[in-house]
Amino acid sequence: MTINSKYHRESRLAFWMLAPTFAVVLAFVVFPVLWNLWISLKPVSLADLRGDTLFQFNLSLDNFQKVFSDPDFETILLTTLIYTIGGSLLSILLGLMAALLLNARFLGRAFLRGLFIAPYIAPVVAVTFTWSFILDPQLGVFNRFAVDHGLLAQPIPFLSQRWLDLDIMGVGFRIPLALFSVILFEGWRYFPFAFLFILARLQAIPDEFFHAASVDGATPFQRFFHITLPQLATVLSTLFLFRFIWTFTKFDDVFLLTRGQAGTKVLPLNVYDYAFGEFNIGASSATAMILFGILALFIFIYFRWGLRIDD
Amino acid sequence: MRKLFLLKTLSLLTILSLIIMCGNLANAEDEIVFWTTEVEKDRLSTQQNIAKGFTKKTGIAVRIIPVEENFLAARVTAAYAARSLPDVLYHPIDFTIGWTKAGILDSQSSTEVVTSLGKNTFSPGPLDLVRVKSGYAAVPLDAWGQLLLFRKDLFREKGLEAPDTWDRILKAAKALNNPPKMWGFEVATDPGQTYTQQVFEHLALSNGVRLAGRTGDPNQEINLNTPEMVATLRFYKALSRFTPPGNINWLHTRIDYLSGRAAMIIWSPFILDELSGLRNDQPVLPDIIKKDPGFLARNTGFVTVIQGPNGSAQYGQINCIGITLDAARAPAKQWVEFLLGEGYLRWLSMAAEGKLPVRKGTKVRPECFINGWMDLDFGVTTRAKISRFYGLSVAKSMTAGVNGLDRWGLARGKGDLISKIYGTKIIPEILKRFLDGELNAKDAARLMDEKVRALEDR
Repeated sequence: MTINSKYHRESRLAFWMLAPTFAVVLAFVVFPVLWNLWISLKPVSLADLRGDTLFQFNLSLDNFQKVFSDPDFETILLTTLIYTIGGSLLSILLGLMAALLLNARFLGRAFLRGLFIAPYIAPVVAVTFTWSFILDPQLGVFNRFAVDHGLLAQPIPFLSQRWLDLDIMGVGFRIPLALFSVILFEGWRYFPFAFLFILARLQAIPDEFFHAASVDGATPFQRFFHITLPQLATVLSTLFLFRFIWTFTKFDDVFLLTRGQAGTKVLPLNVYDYAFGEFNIGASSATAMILFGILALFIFIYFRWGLRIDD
Repeated sequence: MRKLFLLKTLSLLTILSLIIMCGNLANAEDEIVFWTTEVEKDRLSTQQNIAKGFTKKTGIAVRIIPVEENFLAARVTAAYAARSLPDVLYHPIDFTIGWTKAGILDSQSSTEVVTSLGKNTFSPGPLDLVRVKSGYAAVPLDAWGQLLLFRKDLFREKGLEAPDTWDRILKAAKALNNPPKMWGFEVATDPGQTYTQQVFEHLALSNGVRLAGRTGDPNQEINLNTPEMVATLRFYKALSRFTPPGNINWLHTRIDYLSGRAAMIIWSPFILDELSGLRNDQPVLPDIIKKDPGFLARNTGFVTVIQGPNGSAQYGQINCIGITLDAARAPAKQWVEFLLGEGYLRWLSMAAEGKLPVRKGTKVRPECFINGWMDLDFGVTTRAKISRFYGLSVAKSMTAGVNGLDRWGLARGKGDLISKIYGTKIIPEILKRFLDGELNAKDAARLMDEKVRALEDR
């Protein structure tokens, strides 16, 4: 009896201690998602934001139909996926390279490490403005320099041209130039994030592994592929998960660099354009729900079959 | 234990409600909230001064809240949903009709203001553009008309006529084009910029493309897929051959004109102060080369109304002042009347070259604001009168032009589409694809028509 009442008291206490967190999650995570789902199933324009039509039970899939029937939807989805995967992989690759470079001891290492963080902590408006100014075909320093020194025949509008025809050793192909530039920017801006994670893990690999491998006569490449990489597998796959989620929902970088022009329109920009360009809040919510659905599916697949968490 | 908990909760609630009540009390006083898109520091202090004068006269305080124009639509949408709209809202005419239809702006209050100030004291053109069934959606406050700037000296040299028709423009562009030293005509080609829409719309209007219906046609359906539109697209492409490659936006055309590398550009009158060398951060190269300050300003001609094969027009931007449905109506109306009365010249003086008077004068002195505007200084680093640099006739034709300013869709029942067209930038996007050769003129016109109709569906 006494045990029982103590047990009850403790579970009551546990409940009260959890309650604030639960309330916060309910208010700021669960409710917005459900509310967004509700709005996405109703015709909501600017005028409906007030009044009781918002609470009427007139659900339909019209908004989703409108979003899916947009002839550009498939292109936008494909662009979003290329941008997300390209940007994530590139930032991790650059981060890995930077971490390997700065893992060894040398003079000025601490200073360089600090410098490498700069792209990540600089305000996004400032860096996008700087980059678009550097890359401007008329006024930018990059094109000017390249043309003056004979590297380019004519300026390249990096952020405003959809396709660039390349001819390398007789093989002609075209790359989506603006999208490519935006992915490069993404890689540049977010490599410090990967760099920090990877560096921390690198420093935790015991030196004995490398000593033993050296004794067995392993080359540097063998050491990298058979010791370093397997040791980093967990952190790399976690990083990809994070970067994928954040890049997939990324809005400000693309918006500030190209405003979605020249083949760089991604789904989050579509959300914005529906809401504040067309004042179609319903279609905007539907697009957000689609974004949410794709991400949920990705995370499910990733946890089920992709992510390796070693003990 | 339990009592203590109750006590704490109660006292917390009391404090909270006190805070909320205090907030309400502050609001309940005679204060109105005014949102303005004139956010630069010196302009804000001018507005503060106007507000101070208003408070002194009426005892009503005005809280001025600056809102960047780029974020205006998002901010108003959020404020509307949260029931925290300001009382008075300064905004471009692009939003006026749409916001009235959505129930954000109160056309009745605006109509009462126009009536009390006197309908005849306004230029009739801008008033017509904000007309809705129940009166006026908002009160027009200031305006500018887009200008075609051309080099008079170069035109004289080659014996060319002023570029006020399509034929003359094309002929002059061809004659003067000598890249990369001199570009014949720089049009906007950046698909992400409102500027591109403005330049294109100016030329389209000049050929009678009006978004809905044709000139003189009562049928007001969306009508962009017309021979006139196809002709406009072809004309624009012809001009783009005299434009540098890449995505040209307002910054490029201004820099190129001021450094003497463009013979013709289309720009808003906000260029007038840079052009006259009144800004230190923007050197005017021809002036420096000739060692003759004011050379470029004196040798620049202005075309306001461009004539195409099927019409003629000047593109204009009109800024309006709206009273919201949540407003404390009486003080809000007083504030708007003050802005268009005692505070009017001070308001226009914030940027005289781009703020032309829409209200010509008062009932008693019918021309007083037009004449007052002529005496205003403009410029950023140094200030001077507009007429000193460009002559009285330019200043007069600018103010007279206000009456004829034109836009797609307005006064044709399609005013709510403008903000959507400008917001989504679909016209510049399709235009760019056409200029790049991805689409031909007929397909581009059809696609524009289709896309704009899709915006209308809801």
